[in-house]
Amino acid sequence: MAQSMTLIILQTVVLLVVSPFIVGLIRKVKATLQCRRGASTAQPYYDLLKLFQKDVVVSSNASWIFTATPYILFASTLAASLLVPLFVSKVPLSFAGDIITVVYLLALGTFFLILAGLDTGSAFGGMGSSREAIVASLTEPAMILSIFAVGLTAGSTNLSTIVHKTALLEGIVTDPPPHLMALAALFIVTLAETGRVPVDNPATHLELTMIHEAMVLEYSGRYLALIEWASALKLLLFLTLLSNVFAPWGIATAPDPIWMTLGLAVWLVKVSGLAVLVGVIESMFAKLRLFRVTDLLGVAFILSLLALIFFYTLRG
Amino acid sequence: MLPIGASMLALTGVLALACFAKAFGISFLAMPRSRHAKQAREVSPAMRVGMGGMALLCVALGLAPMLVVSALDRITAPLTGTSIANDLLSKGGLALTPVMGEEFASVSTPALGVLLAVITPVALLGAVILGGTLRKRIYKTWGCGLNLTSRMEYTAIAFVQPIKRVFSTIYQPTIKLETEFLQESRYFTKHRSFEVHIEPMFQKYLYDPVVTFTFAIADRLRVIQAGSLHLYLTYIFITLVLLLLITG
Repeated sequence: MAQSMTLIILQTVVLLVVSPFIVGLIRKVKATLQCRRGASTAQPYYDLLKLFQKDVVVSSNASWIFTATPYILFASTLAASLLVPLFVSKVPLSFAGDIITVVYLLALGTFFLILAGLDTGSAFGGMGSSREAIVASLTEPAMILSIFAVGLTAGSTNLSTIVHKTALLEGIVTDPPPHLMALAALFIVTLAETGRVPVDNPATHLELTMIHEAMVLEYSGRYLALIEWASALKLLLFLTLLSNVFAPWGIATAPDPIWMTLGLAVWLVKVSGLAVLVGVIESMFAKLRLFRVTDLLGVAFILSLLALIFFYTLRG
Repeated sequence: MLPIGASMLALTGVLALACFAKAFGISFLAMPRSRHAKQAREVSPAMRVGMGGMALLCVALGLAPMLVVSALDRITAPLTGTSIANDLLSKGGLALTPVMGEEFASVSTPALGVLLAVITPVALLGAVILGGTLRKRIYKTWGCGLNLTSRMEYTAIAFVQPIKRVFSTIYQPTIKLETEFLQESRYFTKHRSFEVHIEPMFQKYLYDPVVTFTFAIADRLRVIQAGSLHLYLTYIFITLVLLLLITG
C-alpha cells in the first residue's frame, strides 16, 4: 500500500515536472531549424509560474462551466496519465482503468473544453469548439483501433499488461508489420489529439485556422496556466503511449529503485526523441486545411485496420 | 470483430459528446439567442427535483456499477445456467473485469472518482501556493472592437457544419439558399432565405418500411374483425377448443 502510494506520487511529480520541458524542447527544435536561437527549454516553466501569478479576467457572459473547466481538464488529464506506465511496467492504478478509460477520461476534458469555448459567446470560441468536435470524432476511433492492434498481441487492453508483456517479450508474436502500422497510425493520432501541425498549430493566435487555441482564447491567468499544463500533460501522455506501448524495452519490470532509475532515464530519452521528431515534422510540413484533415485521419484509421487484418492473417 | 466494435463505439461516443455539447452549449451558455431565451426563468423546485433525481441516479450508476452486477446476474444466471457475478468483480468488488480475468481489462469507476476528487482540490491548492489568492476581474468578451451581440455567436447549424460535411454520405444534407436582389443592382439583396434539411436515414429506410408493413398487415386482418359479437364469441370458442386439444 505504502509502496503503491509512493509510486503514484512519484509518477505524478515526474509527469508534472517533465511535461513543460517537452513543450520547451519542441519549441527549441523548431527554433533551431528556423536558424533562431530560441528560448531556453525552461521557458514553459517561467510561463506557467508567471501565468499563475497573473490576475484572471472572466467574461461577464460566462457561467460556472468556464471556471470549472480548467480544473476538470487538469484533473482528468492527470488521472489519465496515471494509468499509463512511465518507468515501471505495472502501475499501481492499472486496476482503475484500461486504454478505453484513458480515451474517455481525455474525452471528459475535451467535452468541458468544448463547452467552455461556447461559454463566453465569442465567435472564435464557438469555431474552435466546433472544429475540436469533428477532429475528436475522427481521431478517437483510429486511436482505439491502433492500440487494440497491439493489445491483441498481448491479449489485453490493460496498458500495464500490454507494456509488461511486450517488455518481457512474453507470449507475443512479434510481427513487425502490424506493429509498425499501428505505430504510424497512433503517431498521426498523437499529432491530431495534441493539436500539432499538420492538424492544428499551437504557435498561432487569432487566426481563422486555429482549433485548440481558439477554444481557450478567453482564458487568462491561472486558468490558462492549468489548461497549458494539461495540454503539456496530454502531449507527454501520447508520447509515452507511443514509446512504451510500441517499444517498452528498458522499462523496469519490477518496482526496484535501480531499475526504476534506469527506466526513468530510458523513458526520458525516448520521449525527448519523439518530441524532437514532432518538432522536425512541424518545421517541414504546412498545416492542412480543415477538411483535408479528414483524409489524414482516414489514413490513420485504415492503417490500424490493416494492422488488425495483418494480425489475424499472420496468426492464421 | 471486437476491436472494430470498440472503435465504432468510440465514434458513437464522441458524436454523442458533440451532440450534447451542442444541445447544452447552444441552449444554455453565453448570451441568450432569442427573446424567449432572454426571458426564461428557472422553474419551480418540484420540476427540478424530478430531473435532478434522474441525473443523480445516472451519476451513482456510473460511480458504482458493481451494485447492478448482482441484480443483473439474477436475471442472466437462470438463462445461461452459470452465475458470473463473482467473475466480474475484483479488488474486493471495487473493480469490474471481464470474465477473461483482471489481466485482460479492468475498470474501477470508484477509484477514478476518488482520483479526480483528490486531484482537483490539490490543483486548487497548488494554484494558490504558486500564485496566491485568486484575483478575478469580470469583463465583457472582446468582440473585435464591436459590441458583442448574440447574433455574432455560434449557432447550432454552424456548430455541426463540419460534422455534417464530413459525414455527408450519411446525413445527405440539402441546402437551399434563395436570394432576391434589388432591381437596381445585384450587389444589394432585398430578401434572402436559407434552409438546411438532413435526410432522416434511419426513419426513411428502417422505421418507415416497418410501419408501412405493419399497417398493411393490419388492414388485411381487419376482415375478421367485423364488429359482430356472435363472431367474436365463436372465435373464443374455437380458441378454447384448440387450447384444450393442444394441452389435452
